[in-house]
Amino acid sequence: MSSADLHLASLIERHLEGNLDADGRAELCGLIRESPQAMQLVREQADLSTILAEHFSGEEFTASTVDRILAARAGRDARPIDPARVVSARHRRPPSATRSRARSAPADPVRRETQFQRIGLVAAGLCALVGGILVVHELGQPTPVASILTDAEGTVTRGDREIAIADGSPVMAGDVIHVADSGHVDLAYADGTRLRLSSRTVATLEPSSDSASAGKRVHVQHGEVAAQVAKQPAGSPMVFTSDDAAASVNGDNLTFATATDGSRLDVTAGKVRLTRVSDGASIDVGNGEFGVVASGSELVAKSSKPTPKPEPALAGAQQKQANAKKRVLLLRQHPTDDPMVAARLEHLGYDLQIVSDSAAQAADANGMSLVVIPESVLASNVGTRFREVKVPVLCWESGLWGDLGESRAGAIIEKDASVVIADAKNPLALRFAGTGKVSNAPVHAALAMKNGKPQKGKIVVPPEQDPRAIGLFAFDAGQEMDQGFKAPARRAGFSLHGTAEGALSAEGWALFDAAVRWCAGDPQPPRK
Amino acid sequence: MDLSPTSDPDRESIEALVRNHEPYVRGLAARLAPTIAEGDDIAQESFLVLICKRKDFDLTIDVKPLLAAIVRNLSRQAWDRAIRDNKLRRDELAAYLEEMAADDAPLYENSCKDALRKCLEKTTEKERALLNLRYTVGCDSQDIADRLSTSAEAVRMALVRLRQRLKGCIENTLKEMPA
Repeated sequence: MSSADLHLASLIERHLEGNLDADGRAELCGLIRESPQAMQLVREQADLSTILAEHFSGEEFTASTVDRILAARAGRDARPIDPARVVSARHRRPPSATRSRARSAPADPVRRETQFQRIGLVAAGLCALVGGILVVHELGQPTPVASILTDAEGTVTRGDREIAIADGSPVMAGDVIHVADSGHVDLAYADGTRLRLSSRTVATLEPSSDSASAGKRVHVQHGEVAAQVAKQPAGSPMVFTSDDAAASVNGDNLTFATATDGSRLDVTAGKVRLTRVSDGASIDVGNGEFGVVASGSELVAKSSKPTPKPEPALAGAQQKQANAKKRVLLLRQHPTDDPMVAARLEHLGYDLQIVSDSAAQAADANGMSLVVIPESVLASNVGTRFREVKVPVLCWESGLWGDLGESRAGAIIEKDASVVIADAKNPLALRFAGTGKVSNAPVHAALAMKNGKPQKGKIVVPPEQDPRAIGLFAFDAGQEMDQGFKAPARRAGFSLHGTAEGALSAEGWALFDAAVRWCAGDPQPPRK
Repeated sequence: MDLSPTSDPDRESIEALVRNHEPYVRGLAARLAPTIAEGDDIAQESFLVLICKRKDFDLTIDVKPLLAAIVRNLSRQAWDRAIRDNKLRRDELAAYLEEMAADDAPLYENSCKDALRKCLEKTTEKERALLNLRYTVGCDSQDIADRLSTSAEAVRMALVRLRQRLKGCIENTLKEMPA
């Protein structure tokens, strides 16, 4: 491209994105007028941009256009249409005729004004003036974007003001919503789209851009937003953003979560485009899949197939009621980590509170029934913070067992997929006895040692070679653990190495459930 | 297509109307509108105007020229608003509109979508990333440049060149595709 071409291309691109100022427009118009090639390039670029926008919006134009027409038709039918809009169409002509007329003179029928039209235009002008006065009156006021539903807990920052959230109050464009440490905030848009912001979430309902066609945007600074998104207008998907990811949604159900170290998208209905903003790479995340944007994490859609259904300790509603107020704190290094564990805990009926391992504090355990520390956390990020907490802790990061006072040793050894139940009477052993397969793949078993001997709390060991290896152990409150340190509350360890969670068998998950329930003080399912 | 003046068009007939003429109307609106985003609005508004005013027109014949006229009028109004906002000189705008509206070069039809899909498969990861940021995330050139640590001008050039290449690819693919 020559420098002139480059300049033209720059003008065209700014024109297409709506950022061309008055001088630029004048210059572009001049170039078009002088050069058929310039006009050709503008036209080609506009055409391509149109079909690209449609392709990347992931939605057919037709359906949403029809929806808008049907929704607007009733009101429009009763309202007169500006005659200047349509009068030329009454006397339509073939395209070729339009072309010759337009080129030869400004007498294009589009612009031919009859007296009737002039009267109409004058009347329209007066209406516009009155309307303009009203609009000007409204200018400077924030635009309502959505409304808050009942039982919301949190605050809204509007400009430099902080406002307590009230049921039914409108949320304005630009409002920053801070959800309380406990509870959630539900939002409703006029089109039926619903959002649930989880505890501690901070999110901004961003104002639309200057274009009326700009879609809804929610910027999630921290936390988790679950959404049921109604069908969105063509080319204007709803977009959830974080600092590192964007999820483009047309009419789907999803959960979008972000923390300091990454973002995660779970889709439960539809197909959502997830884009990594650092480099623009994107994937489509379909129904039952999740995708993660995080440093060192591959951008791929993975199945979030549900784990085997937990065996209820109590019948359905009874179980839910029993766990209704039980809250579990789950530590994660990345939002991507331990998806099946999180799903499992929710299946068990617990209210899950997720916190980054680096941000987690002992005080976070207040009000919790259980703290869950998976192997995926960075041990140095957690350290001894939860050693003294008087809340049960279930931890399978063997590097933390020493910090928790459970065991000084925490080596990992490779084992097979079976375990031996060493203490079949222990409530955590459930109905299992002898040797049982807990995984469909080899598991990593951890050593929990005390003075070179297996810890007293062991109840399950991998078979054969190394009887010191402990797959699952537990200490009741007050029970002596390592070096005379007494457990401040129930403490348990489970052998579940990182990605192995997807390979756990039904029996393996049953043991996991048992450990969770025991720690949280919930009843176990009846023995069979 | 049942769009006679006496009948109330139901969803199916509206769908058929939009489906048949959508690529043309959208493409024309994109050419004529002050911005692409406004083009989409104008395209939808054009169908709405046609449906609401169906009693005034003979809709038993080809409605394409009618839609084209509506698109032109709505685009003109959008430019009028742009003029008011930006104090653009009227003669320059008029030249732009007249030239653009006067050309009847074919616009993309539905078959182009399949061709585009095939052509996008041939683009590099970096190019797809660029298009994603532009059309999925909605970034403008400056946003993209900030994210990719390059200049806005470089992004603009890359986008224009990429579209030119896609245009050539679409045309070639359409020639190879069975009619």
